[in-house]
Amino acid sequence: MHAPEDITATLLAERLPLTAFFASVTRDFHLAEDVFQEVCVKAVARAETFETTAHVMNWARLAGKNRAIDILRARDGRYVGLSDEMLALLADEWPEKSRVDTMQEALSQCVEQITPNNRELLRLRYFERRNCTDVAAIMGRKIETVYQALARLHKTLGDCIRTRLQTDSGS
Amino acid sequence: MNDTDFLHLLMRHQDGVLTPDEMTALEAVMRDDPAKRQLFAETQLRSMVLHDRFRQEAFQSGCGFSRTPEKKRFTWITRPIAAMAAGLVIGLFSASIVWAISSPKATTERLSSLVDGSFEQRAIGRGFPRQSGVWSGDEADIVERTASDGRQVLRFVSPGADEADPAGPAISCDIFQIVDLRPLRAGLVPEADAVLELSARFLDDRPANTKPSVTFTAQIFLFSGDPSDMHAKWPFAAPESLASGSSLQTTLGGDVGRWRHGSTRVFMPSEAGFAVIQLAARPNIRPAVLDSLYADDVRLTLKTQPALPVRIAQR
Repeated sequence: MHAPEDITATLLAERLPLTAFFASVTRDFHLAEDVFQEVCVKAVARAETFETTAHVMNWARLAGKNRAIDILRARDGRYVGLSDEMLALLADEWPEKSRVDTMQEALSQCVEQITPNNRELLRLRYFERRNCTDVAAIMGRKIETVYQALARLHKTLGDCIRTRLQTDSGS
Repeated sequence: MNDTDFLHLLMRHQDGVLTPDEMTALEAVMRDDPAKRQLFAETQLRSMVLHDRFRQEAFQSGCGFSRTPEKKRFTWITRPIAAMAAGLVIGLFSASIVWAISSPKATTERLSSLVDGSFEQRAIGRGFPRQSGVWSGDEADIVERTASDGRQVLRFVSPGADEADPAGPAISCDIFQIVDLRPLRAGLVPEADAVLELSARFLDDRPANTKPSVTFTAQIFLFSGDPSDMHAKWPFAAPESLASGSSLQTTLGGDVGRWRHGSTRVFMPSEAGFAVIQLAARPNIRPAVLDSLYADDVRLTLKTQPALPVRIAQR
């Protein structure tokens, strides 16, 4: 059994991994944050039912996924996205807080190395909630070029983060 | 499938444009390859961290547009999440904090400053509005039909040129409302993060696959100063806005009475005095006659401390 403050602290520490998982359903990071908020409120209300931290996390992923699908169905009339089977598979292996901590530190250094144009591309896509059609229009590029640029940026940042983590662990 | 191709597919998944065949391919490759599932999770997490980072930057700069400070950036990242959690745990011993966390909607307020968002009362004026609280713009009217909210809806009729640029191309049917934000500022907590969310519903009631495609837009621009001469400066004043946001949806008809929801958010700088709300329907091949294109249920909502329970707890 967990106290409400323990539940909230657990979920808060896992905010980014959980929200990233919900975004796999919503494909909208702002909406995923709203889902996270709702999950927190529901979890605190039923704090006495949780037996372990793993229980809290498993429940949160499932509750958030279901809530996200409900929201999309209410908004769009249907849910089009990853299947329940695939989401369950991903949930079992989803990274947790410790992964985020190391990623954040390394990413802060890696983002400094990308060009201003690429930084603007990421800002438009991940902060201003622009879809790629909109980003392409704003930046004067073709939409396929935007997808390719984003894919390349993620690969570059992923490689950079891995290199930095290896360097840090070796030093 | 190599990692680059997989990431390309994933970017299209994040954008919500995968075809059923592509979705099947994405699932198949992840089902068969644990490394691809790991790449998916890492990319989603990195995207979320980027989203969070840009938002923190915007909050620090106090404006919806990122104004990157000269000095070292991203110092917030060094703040341990554990410390944030500890602050929350301490805060939870206060009854008022528990109330705040269990009532997140208390931080959300639908604004009455946006007048007649359901198009129930007034006619649509022509030209950019001269005053706040009225809808005005290109040729459009209010009609009765199955509405998203109420009994009446806005019908886009014809694209028009901007008043300040009469020789410019008439590429879309634009309807505007100026919203006075000054009364809100007194109620804002100075150190709080305030976000304005604009939402609207659109309906393309043409038969499915009707050409040309039409893009519905809901946009919000925040300005300081006096809106009285904005009609003489629009659209040239748009780049001078303090912050802006837009929601775009492109359709080929076939909505069959099913309203589409669009929303966008902007951070509200303390100096924001008024907002320009713009609803538009833009045919993507011109000239084109606008037919069976509607908007309804326009809402402007103020959210404070929207995403981080710990921030609410620290009030």
